[in-house]
Amino acid sequence: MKKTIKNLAFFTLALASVIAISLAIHIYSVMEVKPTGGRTQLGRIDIRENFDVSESDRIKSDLKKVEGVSHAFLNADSKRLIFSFNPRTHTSQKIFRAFSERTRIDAKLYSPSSEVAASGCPMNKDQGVIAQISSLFD
Amino acid sequence: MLAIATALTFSACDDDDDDDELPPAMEPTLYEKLGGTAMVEDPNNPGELIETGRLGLRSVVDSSIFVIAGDPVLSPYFETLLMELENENTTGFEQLSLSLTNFFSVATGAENFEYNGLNMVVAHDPAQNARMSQPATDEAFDAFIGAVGMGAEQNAVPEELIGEVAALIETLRDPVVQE
Repeated sequence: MKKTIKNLAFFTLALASVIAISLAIHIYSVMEVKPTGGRTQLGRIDIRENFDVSESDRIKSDLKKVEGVSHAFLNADSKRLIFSFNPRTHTSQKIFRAFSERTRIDAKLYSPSSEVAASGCPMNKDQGVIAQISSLFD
Repeated sequence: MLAIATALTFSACDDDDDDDELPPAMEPTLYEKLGGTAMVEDPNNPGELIETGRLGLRSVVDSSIFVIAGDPVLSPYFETLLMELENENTTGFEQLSLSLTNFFSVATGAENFEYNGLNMVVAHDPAQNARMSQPATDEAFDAFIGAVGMGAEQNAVPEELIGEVAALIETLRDPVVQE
């Protein structure tokens, strides 16, 4: 009798463990953020000194030579350098440091504040069913 | 008045004479002029194919986004471009690229894509969309057209097609600029 109770307790405990583990795996798989993209990130460098047209080509070219930079665009009027990189392998800070060391130009890496970023492009907001349900909890 | 009525009567009768004429040829859509549905290798996703029209539009959009990010008039509306959107495991650049490419694909006549973003009125109304911190101005709208034009130029889109794209965007001025 004592052995039967012991076996039953062991079986119940084992079953409960299996259920708990299954539940944990299920919750993890549902909640896990699956990598779907995030391969292209933009960064912005604000140049704080004046330069002429010939220098603008060199500045852009110097940025393109920095490891991790895939594309670069310079707005000479606003003195803003826009570049893209893979955020999985590089950071804008590292790219900016490498650019600064290469050019010794007076510049600053721009970083938007969270308040400013919250006012980003309205087209990004999805209108799907899930997005609309999610918006109820915003 | 009688003259107008008579003219209308005769012109109506003239329609019978046109029955033998062929219907006018369908004007190709802007999407078709940009390459249409012909499949080509997707340079951003090796091993995958993409419609030529969509590839052209995506290239223009991506180039335009660089111009937008560097433009002091436009960049305040697009600050998320410079952010990694951690919750969605994507970036502002990718999200905007996808959204704008879908929008332009549908607007230019693509049939295999859909745009699920907000409509233009709601998207640009600060009262209805918290992400729109300030109303879009005519100056910002002009700058946006200029940015897309520059993006198209960078991708060697023929001048007449750039004009058509600009004209298409211009039709959105009223719903977007709500001052």
